Amino acid sequence: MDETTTTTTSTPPSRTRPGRALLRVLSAPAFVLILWVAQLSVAKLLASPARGAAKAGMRGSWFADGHRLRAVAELLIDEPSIVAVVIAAAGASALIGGVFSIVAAPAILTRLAGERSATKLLGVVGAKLPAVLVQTGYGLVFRAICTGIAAIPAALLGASATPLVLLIASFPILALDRARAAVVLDEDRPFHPKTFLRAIVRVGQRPLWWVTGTVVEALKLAVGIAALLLVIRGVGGGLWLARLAGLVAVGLGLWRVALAVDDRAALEP
Amino acid sequence: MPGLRSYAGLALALVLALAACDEPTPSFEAVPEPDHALRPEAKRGTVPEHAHVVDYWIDARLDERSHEIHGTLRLAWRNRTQRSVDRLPFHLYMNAFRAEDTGWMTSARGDHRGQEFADDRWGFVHVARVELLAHGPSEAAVIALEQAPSEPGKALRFAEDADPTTMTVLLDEPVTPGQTLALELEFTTRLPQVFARTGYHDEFHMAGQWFPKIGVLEEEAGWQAHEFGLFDEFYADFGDYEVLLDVPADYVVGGSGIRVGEAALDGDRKRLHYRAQMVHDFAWVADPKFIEHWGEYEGIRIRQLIQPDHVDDAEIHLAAQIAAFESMEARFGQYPWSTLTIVHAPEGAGGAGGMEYPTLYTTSDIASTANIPSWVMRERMSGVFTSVHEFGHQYFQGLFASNEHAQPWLDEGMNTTSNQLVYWDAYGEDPWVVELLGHALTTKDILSLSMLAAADRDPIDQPADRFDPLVDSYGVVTYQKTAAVMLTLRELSGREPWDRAMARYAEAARFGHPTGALLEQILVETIGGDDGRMALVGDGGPGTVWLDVQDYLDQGLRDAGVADFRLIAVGNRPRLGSAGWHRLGPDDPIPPEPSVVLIEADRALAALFRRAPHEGPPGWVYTPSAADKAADKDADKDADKDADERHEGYVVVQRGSSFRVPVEVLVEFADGERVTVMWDGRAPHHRFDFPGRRVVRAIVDPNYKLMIEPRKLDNAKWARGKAAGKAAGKARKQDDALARWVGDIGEATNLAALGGLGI
Repeated sequence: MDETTTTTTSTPPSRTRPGRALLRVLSAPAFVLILWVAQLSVAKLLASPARGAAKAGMRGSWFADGHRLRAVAELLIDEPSIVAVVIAAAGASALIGGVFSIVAAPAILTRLAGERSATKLLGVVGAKLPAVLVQTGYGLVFRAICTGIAAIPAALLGASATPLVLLIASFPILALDRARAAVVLDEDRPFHPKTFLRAIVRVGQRPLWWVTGTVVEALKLAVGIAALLLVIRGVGGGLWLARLAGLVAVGLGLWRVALAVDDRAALEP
Repeated sequence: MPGLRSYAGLALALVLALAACDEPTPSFEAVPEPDHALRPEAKRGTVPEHAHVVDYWIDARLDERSHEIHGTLRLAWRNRTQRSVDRLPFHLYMNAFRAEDTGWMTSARGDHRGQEFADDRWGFVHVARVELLAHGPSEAAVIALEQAPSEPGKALRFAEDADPTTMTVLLDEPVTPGQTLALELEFTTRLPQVFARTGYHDEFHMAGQWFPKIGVLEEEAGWQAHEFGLFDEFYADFGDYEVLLDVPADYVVGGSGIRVGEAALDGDRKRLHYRAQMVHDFAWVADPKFIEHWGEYEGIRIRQLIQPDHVDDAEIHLAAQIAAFESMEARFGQYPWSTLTIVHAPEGAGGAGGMEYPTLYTTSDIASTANIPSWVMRERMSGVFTSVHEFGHQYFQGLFASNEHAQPWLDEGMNTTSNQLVYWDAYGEDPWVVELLGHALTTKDILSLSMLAAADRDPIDQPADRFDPLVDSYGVVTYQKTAAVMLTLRELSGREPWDRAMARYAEAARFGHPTGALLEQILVETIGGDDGRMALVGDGGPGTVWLDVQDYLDQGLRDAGVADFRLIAVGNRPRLGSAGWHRLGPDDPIPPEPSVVLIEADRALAALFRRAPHEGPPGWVYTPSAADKAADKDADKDADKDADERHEGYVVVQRGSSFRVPVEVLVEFADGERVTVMWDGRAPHHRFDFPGRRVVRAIVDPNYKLMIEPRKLDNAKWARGKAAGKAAGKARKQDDALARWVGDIGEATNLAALGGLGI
């Protein structure tokens, strides 16, 4: 058999090292903190209309009878604008998060790859944003397909299908991380769909990466929901727990992206 | 490897085979059928003979394919009044579903309690003949209804009225006071696909209001046989029923009263014989899928007919039923019948759920919360409340049998009142009904929330046909607002007087077709004194706060409004001093004359500062403001020691609606003391003054007694101004706890939505 042919048709997969990927995140504490503060600022800013509306809705009166659910129901029934504002703020938050994830992706990938210069990080945003946008588009299409596939076990098996659903739903996210890493860090063909397809194959060949990424995404979701439930429950300091949950979510998100950075680093000679 | 494949195939086949096997149908040990339809007299009390007005014998056959019931009905009706009547009105309730243009369908427009009418699946009742079998004095006219008459009866003229839900039978000779009439009718009822209480769904058949039923002859008002409208329910006289039902052999049947016989028939059918005594209606239900579940309470047999999917909920419904028995018997007297049947309609037949018939009711399913951990949510409302509510109707509709058309609140509203008390008796003072993440929604909460939107759109005490479906007030006004009026009266009266009044009412109302006037009279007499008033604060002298019970009921039942109190001002102001000119009183000591030097100095200063000198007319004395201010300065040095004395606190409460009712106000002072004061609620607003006290906070209705006040958020305020002290100042700097909580939830939601900035 021709050795050259063997080499070009079969690249031995590198090992996924979740621990090493995590170290990339932990070695960028200032970066993580900046992102966290940005997250807190956006959340707090977008929450201020709801706070103001709720305070105005009380019209100088004070909640005093201990029947909290009844009181908030009365407030929201009489002042439905509060509900509208909360929903709009949540929607805006999701949108801002989505836009930020696209715009900041080049900088995040570059920082996790080891670059510390703020100038270079900002520069790479401008240079690589078009490529990231295109790959994100491919990612959205693939996510829609995977969502449809994930709906099948959900419909058939109900809640017990949750692990499988999460596994399927996280796959396109990991593939997009890898595709972005390829166009930002490896100068792969920035607009070609083959770049994204190669990323899909790459993730598919690495079950540990896939499972780790799924666990990370699930934890992100769980932490966010848990914190919200604690705030609703009225646990003392609940809002600060929610804010700390935001920090954890930022860290987990970066860890997931670092898996892709680590993977392409392992391929370097 | 072939061996492994074989084993795998075998295992798979076994799994599939097991999965294909039907699970065995659960069965429960039966409680024997009681011998008599009524409980022993010692348990049920006496049954007044004058209430026994009309007996029915019905022989009916269900055609399960066409969903029709073909029947022969004989009735013996006694004229218990002093009126002579030459016509007999009958209810043909099923004709409400006959066509789009019946009165009922015109109002409903195809919708009833969220259930939609199935196109072209109409229902009707057709009376083929009416014959007179006997007519005469009671003794002579007693015939054995169960025996076919030896001679044909005399055909009578009859015709549907303008609305087909009633018909009139014309008599050739009037029925005079004391006489009895026996009639035979032949009828066919087609059941609609169930959406409004009665009808079929697949093999499930709910036969409610399925036979022609004679109206009620009242002494003063004459015949009562209302056209059946959207918000109407039912009104009939008490009597005994013997009902024979010919149904398919595999159908499990439940009916009012007790089953006294069963016989197999040809063609895979059976005939069941039911007997109910001293009831005003007979309903029955049949479904081959029913599973029977049994229970007992004080000798009363409780039979549940439950769907296979929900058989695990039977014990929960039974527990709720027993709790309802305990509470209702203690408060409203003995349940007189020996049996109770609880029916669970199948999925798709929800329109049949939540309805009461004598000794039988239909309930609703308990919501599945299997996937929701109890620390997230728990509830004791779905299914349970329906069972409690429908059982409560056994009293208000079944045993008292008020006119549900003329005064729907007397059944629905009083029943809803009793339901709250069942929950309190079973679970404690104002118990939670839903708990979400540790936050409770209690019985009082649900009552007040339900009244927020529409409780002030209509008065309670009006006939059912006066409610407009587009105003959407019937439900909340008839059910929840009535309960709020009654329970508020209970709280204001101290509970025990109201409870005594209810026991008196229940005693008077048994088998009695009570009116709202009777209930009001008993409430006024029992709670109010000789003049119908109760002193809530004070002993009758000046300052007494009175509760005029009749006035309260007039407002609560006949005005549309609800109560609404709010705090419009809470604070403190400086106490009045003594600066200025005052006349000396005859007994006042004459102050010493100032020296000439001081007088001249004052005049010079007055000229200098262009003010009047401090010399007044004889007998007048002047006190400068500076004296007070000096006292203030000294007082400041003593910090809060004299601060109370220099201020007077005030609390101003406004009555925001036309509803006048006494209300408590809790006032918290700077020294930590809390006092509760009461206002009679008559004037548009009232100010409480507290000289020498600094008010920190006030709360209207702190003990949540006024359930007739749905809005509570404006009931608490902190005092404005520095005088209130540190506690108030600290509170004012913070957001209100509720607003802060809403804001925190908004921020936490944003954090979750941001999802780590989308990374």
